Amino acid sequence: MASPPRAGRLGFVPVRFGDDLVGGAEMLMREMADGLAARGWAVDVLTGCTRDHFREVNHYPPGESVRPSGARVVRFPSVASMHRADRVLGNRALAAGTQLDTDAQYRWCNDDVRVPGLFDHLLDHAHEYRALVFGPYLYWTTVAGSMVAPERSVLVPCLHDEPTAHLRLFDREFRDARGVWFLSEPEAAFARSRFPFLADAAVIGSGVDVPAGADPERFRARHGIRGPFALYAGRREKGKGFGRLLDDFVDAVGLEHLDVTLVVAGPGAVTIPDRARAHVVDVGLLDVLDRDDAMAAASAVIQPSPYESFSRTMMEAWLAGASVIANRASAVSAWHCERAGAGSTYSGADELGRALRAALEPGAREDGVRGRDYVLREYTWPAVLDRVEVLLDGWLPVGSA
Amino acid sequence: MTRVVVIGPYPPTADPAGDAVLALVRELRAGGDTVEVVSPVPSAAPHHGDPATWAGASRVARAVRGADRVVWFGAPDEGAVASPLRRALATVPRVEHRPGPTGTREAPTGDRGWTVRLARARAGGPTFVRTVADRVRRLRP
Repeated sequence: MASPPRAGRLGFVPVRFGDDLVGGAEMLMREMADGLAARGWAVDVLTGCTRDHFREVNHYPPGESVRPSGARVVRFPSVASMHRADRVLGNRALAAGTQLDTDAQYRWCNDDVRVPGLFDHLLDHAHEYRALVFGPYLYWTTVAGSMVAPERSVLVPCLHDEPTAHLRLFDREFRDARGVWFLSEPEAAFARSRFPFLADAAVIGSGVDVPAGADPERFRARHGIRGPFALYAGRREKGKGFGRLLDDFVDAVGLEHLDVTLVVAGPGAVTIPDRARAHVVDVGLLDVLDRDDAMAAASAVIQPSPYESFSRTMMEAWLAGASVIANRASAVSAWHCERAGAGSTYSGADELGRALRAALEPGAREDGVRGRDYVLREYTWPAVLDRVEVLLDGWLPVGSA
Repeated sequence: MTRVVVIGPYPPTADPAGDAVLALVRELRAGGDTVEVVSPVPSAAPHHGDPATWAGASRVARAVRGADRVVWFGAPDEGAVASPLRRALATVPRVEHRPGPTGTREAPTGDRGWTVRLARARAGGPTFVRTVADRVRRLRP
């Protein structure tokens, strides 16, 4: 296939941006921007100075820098209220299943980290971009920024069925954008049901870098881990199903009488409940090499999150040849397992226990091989960026907007 | 170059006047004016402040000082504007009031400002202390 012309500037607008950020959406935007820049596109990353939405609102200095890929990063000062009351109370209400009226939705949105300088930049310069790529859907930068030039705005929403996805506040961005790029079919299906007026949409998937090699023994030696273990790698947050996993894991090993440890890796401090301490080892934040070693060493990688739009963790686990055990409540995780013919899903401690027992069987590695084949077929960056370039050429040809 | 301050609802907002304000800001910026937006509540504007409250009016006044022109969408009655802003507006050569489009909600009115509450209290109206005292009196046998 002939490559479409790589003319015109692309703008990527994530709420936060940095090589030290952990999170599927952040990594997706970063790697897509770098990948397109490396292919010869002129790419700007337009973002704020935030690293953490609540603790480090202005962590990075404002200004311009150029990445090794050639992408230019322009940071504008981030702004947040002192009390964050509308945000915190709104989050609590949403978690409790309470509806927010329209005014409350906008107060909740505007009590997120705001970047007014970025909004002004878009007002003055949006016409210079062939496409502006915003994501994820729920952040202020996406809600506000995509209003400036919707005719050249593309959403990468990273959407899943969570309380915030039902706020009317988001209707406008899904309706008015030039197009929406989804990471999986279940994500697209949910969007079509939630937003019947959805703009043009396509599933692009997400790319995952293929590790050069992994050394399981190096990970075991570095962290002093013996015996079989299951791995959780990611943010240790309630929304990611982490707390529930600790409970389920303790119950599962008890029910099945398994001698297996749960190794948990990710940023930030974590509190392990007393009843789980004997079963859990916290290795903290791992670098990429250590993470690949850990996945290769694990008997299984557990994906407990009920809210996924893609699940990069599953792809990384399969690339390392590990078995995957995923929460069936996530339609995306279940969809991957079905398509790959690999991995297993669970709902509750008893099923998790049976899946862990199966992952400890000698033939379990064949499951990981099938998963690896699936990732190499569908989700390498060259394959994803090819899809992106075809869509840019179709939706936003040079000189179209 | 003209420095213009636009006061009004600004995206993201449920208020339909926000689109009118944004359209004016685009037009002014494209024409080469220096534009600062002040919205009554947090938004994409660099400043926000409710003109009906003393603190909010002071913030709006800071943005207004030194402006060549002020355009105010959905301005309330002058009496509902706290005095710091009234004084600042008096120094601006050109102040325009524009109504929002049909269906626009009213801008905040004066009953939220402490200056207004103070005036009401001086006139013997209800205050927090008086309300509590009344309830205590009613509870006594």
